[in-house]
Formats: sequence, structure tokens, C-alpha cells
Amino acid sequence: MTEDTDIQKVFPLRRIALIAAICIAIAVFGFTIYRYVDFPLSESRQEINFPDSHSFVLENGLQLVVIPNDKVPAVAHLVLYRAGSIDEPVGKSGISHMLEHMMFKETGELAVGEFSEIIAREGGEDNAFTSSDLTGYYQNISKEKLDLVMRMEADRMHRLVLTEEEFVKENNVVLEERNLRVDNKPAAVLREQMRAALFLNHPYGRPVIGWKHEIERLTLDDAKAFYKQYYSPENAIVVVSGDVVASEVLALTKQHYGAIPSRPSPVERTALPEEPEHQSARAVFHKDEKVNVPTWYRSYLAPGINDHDIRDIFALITLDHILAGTDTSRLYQSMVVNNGIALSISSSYDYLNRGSGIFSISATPIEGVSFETIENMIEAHITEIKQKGITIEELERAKTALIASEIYARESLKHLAFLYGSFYAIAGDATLLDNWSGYIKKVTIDDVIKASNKVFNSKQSVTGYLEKETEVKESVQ
Amino acid sequence: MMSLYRLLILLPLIALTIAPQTSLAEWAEVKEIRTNSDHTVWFMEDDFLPIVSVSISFTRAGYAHDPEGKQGLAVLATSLLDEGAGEYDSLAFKTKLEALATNISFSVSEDSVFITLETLTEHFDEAIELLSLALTSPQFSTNSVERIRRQLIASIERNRENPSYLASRLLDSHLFAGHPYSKAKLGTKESLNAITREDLQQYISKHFTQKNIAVSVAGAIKKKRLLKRLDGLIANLAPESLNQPLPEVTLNTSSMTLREEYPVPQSTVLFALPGYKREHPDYMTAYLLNYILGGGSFQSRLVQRIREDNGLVYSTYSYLSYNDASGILAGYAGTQNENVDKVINLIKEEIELLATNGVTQDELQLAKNYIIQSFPLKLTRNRNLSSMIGRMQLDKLGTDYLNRREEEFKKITLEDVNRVAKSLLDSNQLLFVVVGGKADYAFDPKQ
Repeated sequence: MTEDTDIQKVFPLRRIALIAAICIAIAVFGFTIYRYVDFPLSESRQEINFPDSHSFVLENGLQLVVIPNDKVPAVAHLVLYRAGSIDEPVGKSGISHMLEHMMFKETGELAVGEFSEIIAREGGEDNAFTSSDLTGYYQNISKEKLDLVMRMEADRMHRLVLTEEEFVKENNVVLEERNLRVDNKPAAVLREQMRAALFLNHPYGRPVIGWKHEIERLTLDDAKAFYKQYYSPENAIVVVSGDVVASEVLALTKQHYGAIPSRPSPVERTALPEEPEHQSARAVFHKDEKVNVPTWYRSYLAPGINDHDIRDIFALITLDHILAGTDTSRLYQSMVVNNGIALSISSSYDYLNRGSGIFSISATPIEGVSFETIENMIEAHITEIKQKGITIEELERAKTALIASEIYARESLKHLAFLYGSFYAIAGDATLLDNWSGYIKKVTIDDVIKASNKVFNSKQSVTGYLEKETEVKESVQ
Repeated sequence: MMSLYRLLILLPLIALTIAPQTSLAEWAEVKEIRTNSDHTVWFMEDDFLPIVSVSISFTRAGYAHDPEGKQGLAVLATSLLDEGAGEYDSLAFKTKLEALATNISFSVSEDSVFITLETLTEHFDEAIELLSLALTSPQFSTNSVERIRRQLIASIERNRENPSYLASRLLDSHLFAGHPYSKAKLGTKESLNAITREDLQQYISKHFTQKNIAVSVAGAIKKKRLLKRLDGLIANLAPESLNQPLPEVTLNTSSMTLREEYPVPQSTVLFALPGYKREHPDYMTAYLLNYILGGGSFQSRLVQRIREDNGLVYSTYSYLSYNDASGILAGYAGTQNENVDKVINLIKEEIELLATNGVTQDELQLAKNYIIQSFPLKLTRNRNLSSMIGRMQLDKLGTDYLNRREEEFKKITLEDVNRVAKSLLDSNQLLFVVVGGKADYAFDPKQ
């Protein structure tokens, strides 16, 4: 095809000449580090579970995770760096995300913008994301192109070329992204403020995209320093899900990523400050003339996957579902259906973090119903759960749904790559996914009571109130 | 848990043999099958996972068909389908769905209502029974009707907080002035409040019929079992449909800019030109042209010029959109208020450049590669497959479309694209809509 010729001009493809090689320095993450290893390895499971994953570590420290799945002849290729907004130096919020944008510019082999152009030309999709804990780059492409995308990701892992001209333009792009995601939306502004109030000491309190005044002042040198510090093979995980064989992917990975030099000493991380004891419930009020529908928000500091009893994590995953996860949930049935005081209600439990998790609840009061009424009723429900727990029917329904989610998750290569990649990067392995249904089945009503007593402590919470600004606005200037 | 035996797999590292360039698009066959009562169903069997997805559409049932003064009827009625049906009240119905790990979702477009059922093979029969109840005997209990009505009214209010929504309403009401397509999908508080239980019941019996249903299925199910269950579902619907087609559209496009002030730091800029309906012989050519203009890739003219060269936006794109009675080419850019005019000029310039000079052979090749090869990547879920097959059915593309699509794009020439560019990209008809703050409006906390 003609397009292949065109690509070769800009990105000469070396033919792969793989020889049978001896496995060297392959560490298999087969040793569980979790406190609970007493779960039987679910020998007689009827249901279809998350697929198996294979993990290897190259000599230079790069970790490879392979999740074979041959539904379609395609692959999802994801490179995760264990670097996110919490790793940013003080005063440089937004640099991890800014660097993520710069990764699509010039590299040793590619000119500005060529990365995405080649992917599109090969019929693939690509994008990237930044979170508090991780930065990730992915491509979804036909399986023969895995060689190509690995080569390109390996190139930009160690040969990014950062220039002032591109940095300045991209800084404006990122400021527009912040406008779109945050500053145009009163609810997003409130959530940002709540996060800052929830964490008293930990950088989780900073927005991933960065504070506007700090984004504006980021420099090319900041980007270079962050790249140098965190973008290296021993700080990266390559995840491949799709129609592949693990051993073949390992060979390809060695070929493309194996030669990237690891740094002489391990990544120097700024030690993350721990949260002090939280002693006061906090409240954040945000008023904006644009708000038509007032909304109530509550966030609690919650267990994260690394530093707490794993039973708590699964109890809270289950509780999240039971509390407001569906239309049959407690809060929806009580507040939206039976008492008719709320228009909508939702909860979420964010646990896949290096540090603390967050358990959040939000509710939209019906016109004329006060925040106080909403808050009182939600707290009454929480108190009831802390004391009496949940019913066995609720528990069983939640388990059915959470276990069935494993089958549906298998349909998307990209989803699987993200899921596994995040678990390996943050929890160290995929034990929890491999035993997902086992852990879910083990959740008891007592577990839920115990976990909810740990989490639902108003002293470690922030409540947010989003309301319409009704006062006459001060004139600008 | 990783076990040791997997280590063994690694020991003999086999040379990776690169398979010859195979097209991803080797689709399983889409079959047109018939129920006992002679209704057609489009079906793709896929046994990879024990999941079945059923997509149903009812044509001429969308919100543009809502009666005068009762706008929002289609959305209210469909939102109530899983709020209790037959002997099950709302809670019982939803509990049943959860126990079957089954999901039913509804969506309403201007023309049609779309319903997707996603279930596990083992629960297929029961899931279809529930769906059948939902389509034929929804309860429309007072509690549910009032609750969903309130939620929709709040959605209208919440939409009005969003500059992109305000801009798209402004665009639609100008573009389709005088036509039902200019109506708001959710109606207004008044029109929603005017809807009675009788209206809802009439809506179902008039719009969910054997005449205007289209059913498509993808997943792990045997034809015999599928047909048996679907026959029952379809047979329970009213036989006749009295729905009338919508009048043809005369698009109200002219070179002008409509503005609405809204206090945000970033303005939403929308633009629109007349486009093609799906049946237009040049539709696929226009699809390639749109990809090059702003169809989502980083290489598009709009992204390259406005974002990459000038750093003025985070997001800008264009799209082709069609419905039963019209087609448009439209687009978006979000930029801080003071840059709106710059961005409008750049969009206009790029459109004029494309019309005058056309696209390059290289751009066309890239567009074809992407559009052909990325297509199957978007269809790995059975629910996406069944929806796609449903779209093929509505658009009369034929059961062989998935395998034909690649050839159809491949045979489009540079001359074809440039001819369509000249006729489609007419800047004399280019309408802009801007919703945002004044040029000096920025939420600077210091002010």
C-alpha cells in the first residue's frame, strides 16, 4: 500500500529479526503482598472472570503486562508512568499534564505532530491522560502494528525534544483545556475547591490540570526536569491487551524498550506528606449566577488500595453500589422515589490511588427543599448503615452486579489495558482483579458496618454547596 | 494471581512472526432472518462471550414528532419504560433487571427512539420478556411519572448552565426555523407539565408498532431461540402505525454570526453548512472530506491551524450529521472570549481554502486508512455492533455493508472529494453561533 512507503520516509521501519533468546532477568510478580491470602483460589467458578495477565520485568527495570484476548485481531498498547500530579514540585502544579501534551511534539525520530499522524495513518486511535498518580499514553490499533507503536513509545520515552516555541503554544492550549473543564463550569470549580479542602497536607488536594496561575508560569525547564526525573524504563509499565501471545510480546518489548538505559539510581521521589489527623468537618460554599440547579456534595477521606485492610476496600465497593449506585439503591429509593425530596443522587468510591481514597455522595434537591433536609436524611441513612449495616438482599444484589461486571469488562481491549495497567502500577500486581469475584463474594454485612464506621466520620469530610448567586454582581473593574 | 506455570511459557522465546497485512474487517455475516410472523431481524452471531445485545428502533417516534404543546413527550414516555411494567412496579422491575445482570437503555433522537438491551445468554429469555412488558404495558404510575417529569424539568434547567447546550439550541432554532427539528428535545417546563397519562399511553400505542420497529442483534445466541423470543415481543405490539413523515427541511443558512452573551471565560463557537442526507450518492465522499476538515483526528485542517499553529483552542472539530429530512456539516471550537473573532476567521479561511484548493492525495490516503482501519476497533462491544447493524437497517445500507464499506471508501477519488468540497463548503452559507462572555470577561479572582 502506498501509505507504507510514505511512512518509511519519516519513520523507517526496521524489520524484526528476533532470535530465540534466553530469558534473562524476568521477575514475575507472582508473590502476593496482600494481607489476605486466605481466599481459596475459586476453583469452581461458574462465572466468567477477568482474563489472566502476565507480568515481566526487563533488565532495565521496565515492567510489561500482557492480557491476551482474541476477540478481534487488534491490540491496546498502553504505557503508564508512575508519575502524576502528586509528584509535581511545589508551585509547579500542572506540569505532569503539560508534559503529557508535549509528548506529542518532537522526538529523536519524529517531527512535531508526527506521532499521532502515523497512528491515524495506520488506522489506529491514540490519546493520553494524566491523573494524580499516573500518566498514560495509549494506542488502539490492529495487531500487526504493535511493533510500530512500541517503537514509537520507546522513542519518546527517552528521546523527547522539548522546544520553547512548542511549549509556549501548548501552554495556551492547556489553559483553554482548563477553561473548558473547570472555569466554564461552576460545579467543576466547586469540586476543585472541595478537593483542596479535603486534603490538608497531601498533594491530592491540587487539581491534576493545575491551578491557573501556576499553569501560566510553567516553563520549558520545568517540563524538562519532570521528564528527566520520571520518564525512564524502571518507572514505566507497558501494558498490551489483545490478540497476542505473551512470549511474543515480551520479545518485542525487549527489542524496543530493552535498550533504553535505566537511570543510575532509582527515581528520586519527593516524599509525599501524610495527612495529619483531621479534626474538623469542613464546608465549601460556591455561588455562581449561572447555577440553575443547586447541588449538594459530600466527600470523605477513605481507604486507598495500598494502605488499608483489603476487606474494607471490597466492603466499600459493595456499599457504594448499595448506597446510590443504581435506581434500586437505598438513597435513590428513599430520597428520590419515596420521600421525593431529591431529583437525583449518586455515590462513587475512588480507591485505586497510591495514597488515600475518596468516598463521595452528591444529591440534587427538589425545588424548595433545603440543603439541610437533604443533608439530614443522608446522614440518617449513613448512621443506620453504621449501626445496622445493610440487608442480605441488598448485599446479594450488589454481588450479582459486581461479579457480572467482569464479563462485560472483557469486551473492550482498551478498558482491560487501563484496568490492569492501573492495578499493576498502583497496587503492584493484579491479585485483586484475579480474585475479584472471590473478594466480592466474601463481603459480609459486618465488613460493611466496620468499613462504613471507618469512612463515615464527619471530621474527615468536606461538604460542598453549589448555589445560584442571587446578589447583584459587582461590576467588573 | 500469577502462578508459576506461566513462567514456563516464557522459556522458549519464539521468533515473532508478523502476520501478513490482514484487514481487520473480516466481519462475521449479518443475516436477515425472519420470525414466524414474518418480521425481519438483522443478526450477527458472535460466541466469544456469553453476552447478547438487542437494539431496537422505532422510526418516526422521535421528539420532532411530539404534538404541539406537548414537547418532551417522546423523552418522558421512553424514560418511563423501565419504571414498572405489567405486574412489576418500578422497584420490582429494576430489581429483576439487576438480578439478571441485564441493562436496558433508551435514547431519543429527533426521528427515532432507540432501545438497547444488553444481557447474558443464560438470561436472554427472561430479559426479553421484561423488555416486551416495557414496550407494551408500562405502568406509568403517578409516582414515576411525576418523578421523571421533575427530573426532566431539572435537566432543562441544568442544560441551560452549559454554554455548549445554549449554543446548539441557538443553532438548531435558527437552522431549522419553522420545522419540527427546531424543537427542544425535552420541551419546556410548561410543555412537560401539559403531558397527561393518556398522552403517554397513546404515545406508546401509536409509536411502538409492528410497522415501524427495526430489530438487530449481536452476540452469543442461537437463531432458533432468538426468533422464538423476538416473535413474541413483536407480536405483542400494535399492528399499525399512523405516523406521518416530517416535512422536508429548507435549511436557514446564510453567512452570519448569531451571538448570545453568557458569563464564562471560554466561548463556544459553532458553525454549520448544509450537508447531505445519508442516501445522497456523495455522502461517503463528504465523510472523507469532513475527516480532513475536522473529523476528529489531530491531523485535521482545523486542529492543525487553530490548535497546533496558533494555540487558540483545546478542542475543535467538525462532523456530518443527518436525519430523516436533512443533512448538515457542523463544527465546534472553544476559545477564550477575546479570541473568538480570530477563531471564526480561521475556520472560515480553512473552509474556503478547502473549497478552492481541495485536499491533497496524501490527506485523502490518510483519511481512508483511518476511516477504514479504525472502524472495527470501535465495534468490539456487542452493544456497539447491534447498534451499528440497527443503523445499517434504518439507513438501508444492506446486510453486506460491513464488508462492503472498505471498498466503497477505497474507490472514492481525489477528484470526487474536491468536487464535493467545491459544492459543500460554500462560505456564503456559513452560519456561526457564539455563546460566551464579553471579550474582557475572565473570571480573575483578583477582580
